[in-house]
Amino acid sequence: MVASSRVGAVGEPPPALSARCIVSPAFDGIFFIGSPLLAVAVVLGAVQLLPAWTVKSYVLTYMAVGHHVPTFLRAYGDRDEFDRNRFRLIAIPLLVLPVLAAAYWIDARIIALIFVWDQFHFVRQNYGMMRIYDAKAGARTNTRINLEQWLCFSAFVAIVSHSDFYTHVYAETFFDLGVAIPGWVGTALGDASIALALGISVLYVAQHASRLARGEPVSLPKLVLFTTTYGCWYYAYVVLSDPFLSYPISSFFHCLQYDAFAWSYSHNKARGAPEAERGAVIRYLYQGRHVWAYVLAIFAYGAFSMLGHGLYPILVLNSTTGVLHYYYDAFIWKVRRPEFTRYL
Amino acid sequence: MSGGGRIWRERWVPVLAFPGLLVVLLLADQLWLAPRRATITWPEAAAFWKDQADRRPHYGTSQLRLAVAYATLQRWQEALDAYDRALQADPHLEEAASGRATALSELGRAEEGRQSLEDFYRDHPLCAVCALSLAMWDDSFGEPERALSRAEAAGRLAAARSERTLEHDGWLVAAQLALPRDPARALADAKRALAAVPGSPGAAQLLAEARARSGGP
Repeated sequence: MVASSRVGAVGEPPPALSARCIVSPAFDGIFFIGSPLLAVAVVLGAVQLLPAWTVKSYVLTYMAVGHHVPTFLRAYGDRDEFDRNRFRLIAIPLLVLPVLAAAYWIDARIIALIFVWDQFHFVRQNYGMMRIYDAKAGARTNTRINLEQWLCFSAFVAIVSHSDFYTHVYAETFFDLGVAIPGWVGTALGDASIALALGISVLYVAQHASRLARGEPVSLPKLVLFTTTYGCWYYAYVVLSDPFLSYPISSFFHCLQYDAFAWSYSHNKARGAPEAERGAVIRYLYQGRHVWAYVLAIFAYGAFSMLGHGLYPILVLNSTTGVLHYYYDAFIWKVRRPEFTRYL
Repeated sequence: MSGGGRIWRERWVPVLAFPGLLVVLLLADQLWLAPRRATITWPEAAAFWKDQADRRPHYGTSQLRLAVAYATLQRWQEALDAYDRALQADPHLEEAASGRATALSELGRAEEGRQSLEDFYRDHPLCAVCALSLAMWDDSFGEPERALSRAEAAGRLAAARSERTLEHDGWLVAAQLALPRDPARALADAKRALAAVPGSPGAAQLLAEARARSGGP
């Protein structure tokens, strides 16, 4: 999700809190801003009752695999969106599926590097939501360098490079690929990334302080979202650093945010869009009283994947929906389009 | 730009770029990385994981990779030390508990190894790899009935975790153990092994033998 910001005039009264939220203060508090804290509580609570590998497999199937569904509902169920990208949405799956099927068939281990894209799209989602909050607050961005984007990525790289869990995952993945990256590379990357992240943080704080001093709007929900998200990532990846639990915590809140955002947006569209722009799926699934069907669709795909876990056809299917989810997200949620101003 | 060129640029390039990148990665894997993978020796692997484990002394999975490299090289004392460090960092690492028992056995401390695995299995009753290891230990200690029930437990536990390779191994060992005494049971276990990993030659062979002995379908 990538948003453009509206230009807020100096001296204008700030919008009410509800107008600065994507849905409402309570909804945003639970599903967007507070969801990282919720993820820590749920995953660490679940592990008191279930073995860690069970918790991991539930989150990775019902949540992570399941959250591909809203992408496909939007891409193929939203008539307006489908018409806009018809050729791409038909051709790309037909090309990607056989390539991934071949990759798994010949045991091409490079497929494991999909997880790098996974991390990239986690950060992009967080950045996109921050931009939406800025736009809602009427904050302007007039710098040539996009400090916010730099902050999001540099802070994430700093966390990952100081995480025993992720540095092991990278070392293991590349080693199993046939590339033994020397250990000092990780150490050097860790040092460089922390220096970069700290430098950018200082500039970012200075930029926001200057905005406040000029009376320009600054989105508080955005800053809180950044704090909860990166605080949670730091806790999960660096402090906890558990092979079974670190990723599920991160995945849990990423998926919860995504599912909730996709639902709230499409719900607004289902209510407000002209008949020609809505498909039958949008009309049915995104009515308030049918939210159960939306949740069921997500969990059903997760359950299907759980049942077929480890089987070649399911592996190929899940990987295909996974990479298409990453790829489609880059254009189906371009929130600078006027449509998003209407329904967001 | 001509109409054809524009259509190519606007319609086909965005569509082909992404699958094309995947194909390039696939070719890179097969033509460049696969030969490199094949030439990595176990001493090189041990040296790599020693460096990694030294950088992450408190991360059990790195210690486990080092231990497995040492075990493959039959450097059992170093393997045991690394398994100990792995379990110290993460007391729930099932592969480390199983590997540690093997290392102890190779160092001439078989009874201690078996007992340590029994203790771990008692604390982690859902550990499929423990059940499978213990089944093989029981068999070597002359306890075939216990070995068979544990191998079947390994198959069931692994199935519950959707770990198909381990599930296959559990049922396969169970079928091997059952075959001399109970061909009908061996037949059922071999079928389960084949269901877990369709096309497994070992399971197919056991299935044929069990069918021949039991006269079942």
